[in-house]
Amino acid sequence: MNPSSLKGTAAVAAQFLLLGITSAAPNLDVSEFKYSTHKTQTSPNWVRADNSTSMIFDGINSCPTQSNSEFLVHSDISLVKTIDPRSLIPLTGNRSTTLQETLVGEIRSWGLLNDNWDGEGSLKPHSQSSKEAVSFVNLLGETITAPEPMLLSSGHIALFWNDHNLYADIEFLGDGRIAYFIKVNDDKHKGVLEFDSQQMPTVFKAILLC
Amino acid sequence: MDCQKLNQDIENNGAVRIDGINQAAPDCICEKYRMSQFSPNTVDNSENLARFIFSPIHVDRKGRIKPSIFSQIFTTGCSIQRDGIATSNELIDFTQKFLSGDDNRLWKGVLIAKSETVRKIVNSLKNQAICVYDTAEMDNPAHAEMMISYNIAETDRAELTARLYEVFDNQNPISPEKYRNGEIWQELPSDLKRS
Repeated sequence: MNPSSLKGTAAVAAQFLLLGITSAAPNLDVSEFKYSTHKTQTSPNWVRADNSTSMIFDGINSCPTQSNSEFLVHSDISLVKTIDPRSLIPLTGNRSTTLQETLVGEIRSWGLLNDNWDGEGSLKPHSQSSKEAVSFVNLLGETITAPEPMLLSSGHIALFWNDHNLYADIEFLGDGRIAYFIKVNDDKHKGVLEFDSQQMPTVFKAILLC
Repeated sequence: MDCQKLNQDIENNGAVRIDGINQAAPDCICEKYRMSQFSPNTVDNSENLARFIFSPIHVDRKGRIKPSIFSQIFTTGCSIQRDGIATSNELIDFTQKFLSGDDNRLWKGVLIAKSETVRKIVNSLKNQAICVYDTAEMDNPAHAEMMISYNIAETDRAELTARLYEVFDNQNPISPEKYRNGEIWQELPSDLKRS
């Protein structure tokens, strides 16, 4: 692809919300797309973007939005389905970023942090814990009060509610388990349970979503 | 018990530090002995402990402090200042050093709790759950730390954090402008007055 036309693609696509990709690849995580803006990238797995490559810029996640960048893409991007930008719905005017998207964006932005991010020796964010937290947020829907995301010293991500009579702290342990402590009025619930990132565990349905 | 030697010898590296201290000196025994040659004395129950909030990551959308501010009690040790013995000059130095270490840091305020209330937090067996040690540093003699007193199960961590969050009066952080009547805040260079 001619770099100038790729620049055009970036500029146009950045204004659109990604829709439709989930039906093509249900488990595709936009944040996992590999890209580079470094022209000096010489690894054999990195190739200049061409006409067969569709770059996705959703304006929320960590994909590049610089309009003057030349992009190299990783050759193992094979899941991406080419999307006609005309099939996407423009963000401008009709839709603002949801709180869920803001939460997901905040959690993903922590991925850039290194060890000792707090000056007290804390560990950098645990990538699997982050993914599990994002999956959980996406399962919450918009029917309940949004939690606050937390980055713990261990590098684990947690979600926190502290409103009215609800205090809840849910930590994603990064191995498919969640440790939780929930207090509703004077009722306390705590434990560790399995989380498959596909379904909201029943205990949370009962307590958080009621 | 030579707690100073223990503190010096323990590798200052993540959970190894806390595990090492708890294995060599279980049940907060080193609360009875000075942990550092720079410490004037052990932390008394009557002392106020000040937790300075420097990371915006620990502040929520409404400006409230999140309990994650205490998550170091399980890993490296949660740094606090002994409010009664820290001079304002020492706190100015401490604050200045911390803020100048990273442009993203800001000073959101200070949470205060009495040492005794922290030490009274117990586990299900009614044992003390959090130790308070006088881990003074050469340039910061009022430095102390809170850390768990034993290997706490994942199931119990968030509840313990909630207790600590409660005793530090999380709803009422003291703003930098009000802490010590603004004495520390006023002395910070203008480029570090980020709150």
